[in-house]
Amino acid sequence: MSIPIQLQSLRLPVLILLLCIASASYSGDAEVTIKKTDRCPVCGMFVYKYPKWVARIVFQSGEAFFYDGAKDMFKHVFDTAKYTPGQSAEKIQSIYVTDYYEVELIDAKAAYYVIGSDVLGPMGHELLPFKDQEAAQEFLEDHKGKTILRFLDVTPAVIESLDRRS
Amino acid sequence: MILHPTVIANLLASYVSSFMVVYAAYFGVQIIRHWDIQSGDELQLTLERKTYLISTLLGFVFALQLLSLFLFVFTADTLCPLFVGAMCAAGTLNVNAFGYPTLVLKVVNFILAGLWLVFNHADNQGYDYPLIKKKYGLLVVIAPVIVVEMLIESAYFLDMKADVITSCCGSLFSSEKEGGLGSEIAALPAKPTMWVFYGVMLCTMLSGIVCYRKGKGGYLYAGLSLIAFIIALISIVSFISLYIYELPTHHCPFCIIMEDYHYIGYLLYMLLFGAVVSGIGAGALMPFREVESLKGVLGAYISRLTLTSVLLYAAFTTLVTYKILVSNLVM
Repeated sequence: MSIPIQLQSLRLPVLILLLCIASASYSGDAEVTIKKTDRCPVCGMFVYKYPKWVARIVFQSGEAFFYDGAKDMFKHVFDTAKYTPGQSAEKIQSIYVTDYYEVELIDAKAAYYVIGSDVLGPMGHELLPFKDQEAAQEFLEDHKGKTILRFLDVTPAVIESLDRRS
Repeated sequence: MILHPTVIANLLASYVSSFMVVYAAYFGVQIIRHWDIQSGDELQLTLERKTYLISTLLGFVFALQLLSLFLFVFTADTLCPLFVGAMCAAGTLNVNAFGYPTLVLKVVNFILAGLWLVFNHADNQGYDYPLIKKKYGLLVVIAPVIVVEMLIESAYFLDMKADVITSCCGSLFSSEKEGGLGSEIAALPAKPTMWVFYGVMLCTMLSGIVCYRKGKGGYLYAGLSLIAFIIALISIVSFISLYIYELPTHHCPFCIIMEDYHYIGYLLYMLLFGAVVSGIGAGALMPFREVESLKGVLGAYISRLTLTSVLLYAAFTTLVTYKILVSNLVM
């Protein structure tokens, strides 16, 4: 006799739990899934091995590429035709990088990049992306970073200097 | 040093090989100096008895030497997550100055060890030890190279430090980077290299078939098989890798051995190394066809080696062609 009463009393918590699970699994980037076959077009690395470092470029044609760090993403932006013949930087629709603290994809053009820190990515010295300046500043102080750059401040010379440090 | 099981296995294999080969080479010098099949004195009888033991042991040691090349590359591939910047064996080999020299010596010793096994097998076909002095002469040449390999390999593993930032294969084998053999080969134009590859493979196989059918042209085939081997290695960096990775800029000859590419690199390299060893082996045995005790058997053995080599090159070329045809990369 007591069993139906107990089950009834569980209904609400179960409903809340299910709602929580459903909302947690939904996010703005839910459609972005990294497959085991996705490789960085710049260095050839399998991106699934480094989910915390992923960057992404989506072209107007719908073609999308993953990178194992912001550095390789910038290399692709600076020399698009080399890595993807037939494409050009003008045809890029959107660019994403992974926020180092939040571990979520953010708009690369709005991000703050810390360089010169003691944190190394899969490809050595990296640009560490953050969605706000406070987080970037905090990281810079904690990890001996040198400079905070915006998207447009990053030039081929900056990328070359990161590679040279490796 | 990094105490990884594969590192220990590599070093142990290297020390065992070196010790055995040096001991056998010491015995080999005695054979070269004192061997006289007509003599019945005590030293000759001791040498005759000992040569069976030494040959058998060396058979195992050189088989281990053949395997050690693949174990070494496998180890470098396994260790790559420990080094920042390394994505495959190419980066691990670059962590200090001894990685690539060790690899080159392993390749040289693979061919030399394979040749010794070919000579040993041929020698065992005759009743009067027909190639014994040649066999141990070759051993005396191989022994110092194996010892040098052991020293450089030890330096490589003992000097390995985990806090090194190494270069990714993407930059080591980049067609744009200036300097470095890998980059120079990567910069070769893909299409002409492809024509050279298919041309050389065709010539090599045709010459091998003629040699197999008519028993002539063994030296030519040995030379061509060495050229085909070198051209095939260059082709892997220049264009074969591009089709396997389906990336227009990735020339690495090591990523192909990864699980993500179904270990196809191991198969390609095994076919290639097997082909070159049997091809050169066939040529190296040519001068001994007229040796009295080998007259009936050596010709057949050379033919078998030639056929094996031709079939392995054919399998390599077929596999490469298949990968090019099914690749999504269009050049």
